[in-house]
Amino acid sequence: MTILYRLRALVRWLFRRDEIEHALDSDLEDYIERSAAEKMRTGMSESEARRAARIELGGVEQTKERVRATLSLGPIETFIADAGYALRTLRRQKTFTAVAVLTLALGIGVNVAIFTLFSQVLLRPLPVADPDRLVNLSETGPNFRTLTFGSVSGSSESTFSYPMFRDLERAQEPFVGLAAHRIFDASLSTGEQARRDSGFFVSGNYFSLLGLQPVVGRLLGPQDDQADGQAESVVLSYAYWQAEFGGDPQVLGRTLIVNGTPLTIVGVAPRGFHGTTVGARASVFVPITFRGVDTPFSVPNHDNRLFHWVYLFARLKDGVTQQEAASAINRLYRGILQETEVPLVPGIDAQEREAFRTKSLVLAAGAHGQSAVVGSVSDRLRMLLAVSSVILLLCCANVAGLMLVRGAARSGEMAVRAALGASRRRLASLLLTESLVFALPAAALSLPVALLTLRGIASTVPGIPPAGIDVGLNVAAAFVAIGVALLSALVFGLFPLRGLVRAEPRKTLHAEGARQTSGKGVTRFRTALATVQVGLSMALLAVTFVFAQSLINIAHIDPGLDIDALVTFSISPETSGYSPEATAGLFERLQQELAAIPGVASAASAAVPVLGGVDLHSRAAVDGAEGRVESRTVLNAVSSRYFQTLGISLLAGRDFNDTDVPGSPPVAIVNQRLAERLGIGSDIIGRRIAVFDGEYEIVGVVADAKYDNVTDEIEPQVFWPSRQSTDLRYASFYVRGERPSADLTTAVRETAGRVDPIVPITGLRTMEQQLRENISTERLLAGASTAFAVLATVLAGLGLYGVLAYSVTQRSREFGLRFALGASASCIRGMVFRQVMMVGVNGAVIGAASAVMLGRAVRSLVFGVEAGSPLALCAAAGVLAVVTLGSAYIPARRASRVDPMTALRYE
Amino acid sequence: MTRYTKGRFGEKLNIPQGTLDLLILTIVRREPLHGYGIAQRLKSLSRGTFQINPGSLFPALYALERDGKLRCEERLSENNRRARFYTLTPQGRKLLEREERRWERVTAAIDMVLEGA
Repeated sequence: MTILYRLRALVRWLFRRDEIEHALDSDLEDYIERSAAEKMRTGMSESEARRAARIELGGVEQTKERVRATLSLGPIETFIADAGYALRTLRRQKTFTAVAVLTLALGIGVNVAIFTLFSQVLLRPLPVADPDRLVNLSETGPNFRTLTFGSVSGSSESTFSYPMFRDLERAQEPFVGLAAHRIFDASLSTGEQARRDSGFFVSGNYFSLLGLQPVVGRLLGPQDDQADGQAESVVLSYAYWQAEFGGDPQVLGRTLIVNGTPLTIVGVAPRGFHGTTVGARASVFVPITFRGVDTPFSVPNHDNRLFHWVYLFARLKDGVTQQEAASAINRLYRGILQETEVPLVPGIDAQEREAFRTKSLVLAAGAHGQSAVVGSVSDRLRMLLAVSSVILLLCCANVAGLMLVRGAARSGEMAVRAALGASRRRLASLLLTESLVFALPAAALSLPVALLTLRGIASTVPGIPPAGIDVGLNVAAAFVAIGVALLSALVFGLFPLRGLVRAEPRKTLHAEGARQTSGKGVTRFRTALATVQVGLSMALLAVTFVFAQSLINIAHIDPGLDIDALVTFSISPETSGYSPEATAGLFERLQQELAAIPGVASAASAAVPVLGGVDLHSRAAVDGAEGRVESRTVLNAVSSRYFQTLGISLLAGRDFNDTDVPGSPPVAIVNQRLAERLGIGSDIIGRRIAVFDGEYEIVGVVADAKYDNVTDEIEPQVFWPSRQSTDLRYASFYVRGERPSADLTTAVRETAGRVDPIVPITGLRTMEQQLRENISTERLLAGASTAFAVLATVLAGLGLYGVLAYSVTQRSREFGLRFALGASASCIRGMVFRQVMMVGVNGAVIGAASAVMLGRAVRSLVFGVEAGSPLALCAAAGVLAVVTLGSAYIPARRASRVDPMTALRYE
Repeated sequence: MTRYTKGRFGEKLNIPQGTLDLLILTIVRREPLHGYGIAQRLKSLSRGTFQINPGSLFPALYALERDGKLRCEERLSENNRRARFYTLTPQGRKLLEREERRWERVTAAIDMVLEGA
């Protein structure tokens, strides 16, 4: 009631203000008139009576002010009046307003976007109960003969064999429980067309350990993973349930075909839960006892101790620390190694056995789930966050500079106001209101900027944000960034009051004739600001050059492959119900048909995609002249003509051919690096190599080529003929045209569709595209840092220009005097340029120092460049020299054109 | 309340807090009146005990007008000048009645205390 009433009164007061003022005038005039008339009746003269009446009234203005005070609604009204005034002023100073608002909006927006990504990817824990009590397991130490199979969930070091999981699961001491999971490529179908998607194989206690509750039905439980190789139930993710079944609760009991196996839908996982791997968005959760995982070659998963593929996490018991848990679980782990696993590793000496036996388990905080993505993305994001906060600083500095200039110009106005009786508090509130009036639109504008930035990053960079992460604007980030910007605007907005606090308004008025203050302090402070800006933008420029150099270096890396006119795609027939035998047949047919396309030179396939970011690791042992030598190695199974198609030359021995079939002696080809690593050289042909669980005869040596990432060192590689692997599950195909052609991709798609219309092909693209995606990180960094450096340089240029323009205006009398005394125009220009040179040189020193520090921070992100490289520093300094001199040009010209008469007449 | 100055009819007193509205409304009830008239009427009715200065009168008048207790009309006064005359609104009448009752109770209570002591 009272609020409503006050509001009504406010509105009425605001709209009837003129009317009320008018009434007040007439009331008071009437009062004096009558009072005077009364007094004249007692014998006063008219003028005397009027005077007496005025005195009785106690001051017309004061009375009016008291009425206004009674009617006004206090601070709200003052604020509205000030805001109105500020808006009018700002509308007049369009350039100032636009520059300040845009600068702030950019600074805040970019920071909010980057911080949002940062917090979503790195700071947000899994949406599960008590995520801080979760720990991820990994093992360190030698892994003889084991085949480790990494994925987006983490490197191959974090993988365990399934039997080891079951053994460790018995550790009741430190854990509430231990759960296993593995992400897989799922082909999902409700009876019609199958769709490619992602799923998680999870152990029975997965959901209960995470403390999750079903939305509908039940989640998987201990009853679901009893027998190896069997699975009957499937749990849907909330998003998949909504998208595919429209959120129908009747979905329970229906059948979903997962990779060819019909499973019964038993429940739906909670909303927002997409699995325990950041960067993956699982649609289904299947018991880990499912008949097989999607390794390139089918390996018996559930009873093979040498095949590591499951990821493990545990929940700590209350009161148990991570260290206590680690030492408890390691006692059990070493026991298992000693009793069960050591005997499985044949042919190792005593020393190696000891190393193997004393391997240890490492526990790491698991609140954020298990993900390789977080690690690889986090460096980039940290870097971007650091750079973008520098940008925010620059924006604040610029706005502060603008406010200072504006404030200095208004010292006179403030002094007049103070002299007319405005209190300091009143002036402060006026200035704060003005700052708010332009800071608030900037804050509002920053949100679309942030959204655009996010959208831009998301659309240009694969992997950022990682799939499965919903990136909405981070509210906390928005508040912090807006707060910082507002604060800088507010603090520097109060600047004009400074003179009044220190000195009497009288002095300011006297000294300046109500014009401007000399503002020497302002100029000095702004010069310092501009110097810092120049320095920071130079640092950013230097880093940009480093990234650009790194990108160029990467572009010049020889991947060891001929990627021109090469098209690739992947295919996974097993998920469409193909048996291993049928799969092998399909691969053969596909290879022949593809090679028969007119204009195609050759076609081949491989189990592990080249430059696809996936790796299959093991160790290889060769019996050499001086005993057995071992090496870590990566593996691939390839078809005939693979090396020829990818442009990898055969250095010694022979390629795989038609004689390498199932049943014939198993053969392998190794790369040059492996031969060098083992110290055998070309003598390696004909030797036997032991990899994983088999022994092969080495029949050839090929040149080195990149395997999973362009920027990685080339590792020793072992190739098997895919024809000898009896149960292939999927493959990546490579088709080489005789010359680069856009039609090649289309022809490949048509041919693949003709050979088998049911099995979908994925990732059809040229090798060039694949390569570009493989170095998307580098491209992101180079792109982002270029954008930031340009922004920073423009900001620094603007800031510097502001300082110079202001100081030239301030010194116009001085210049006038100098002209009058005979100085030449070039002499005056020289003075201005000298001023800018000082800023430039000091800025360059700051810049070089910060560039070296920034460079150290990004060392791990660049390829083949020294971070603080002199070349980059020189290039950055060169750009900045141009910018500083450019920003000095207009002020210098203006200074040289000062008319001595006009300038001096002011005196 | 504590400040006393000599007036024509004994001491001048400040108007007790919270009663200015009551006094203004009472004066205006009889006939519409302008600001000066209200001040004069207050002075004469209180025999010079209450002298209100314009700095207190006008804020009170404008607040009452804003709150809808008083209404203003411009009229020609006796000497042919336009002036704003304050009139009681129905809302103002209600407020006046309430204030009168309250005042009666206050004075009665004070009397009782004084007599009983």
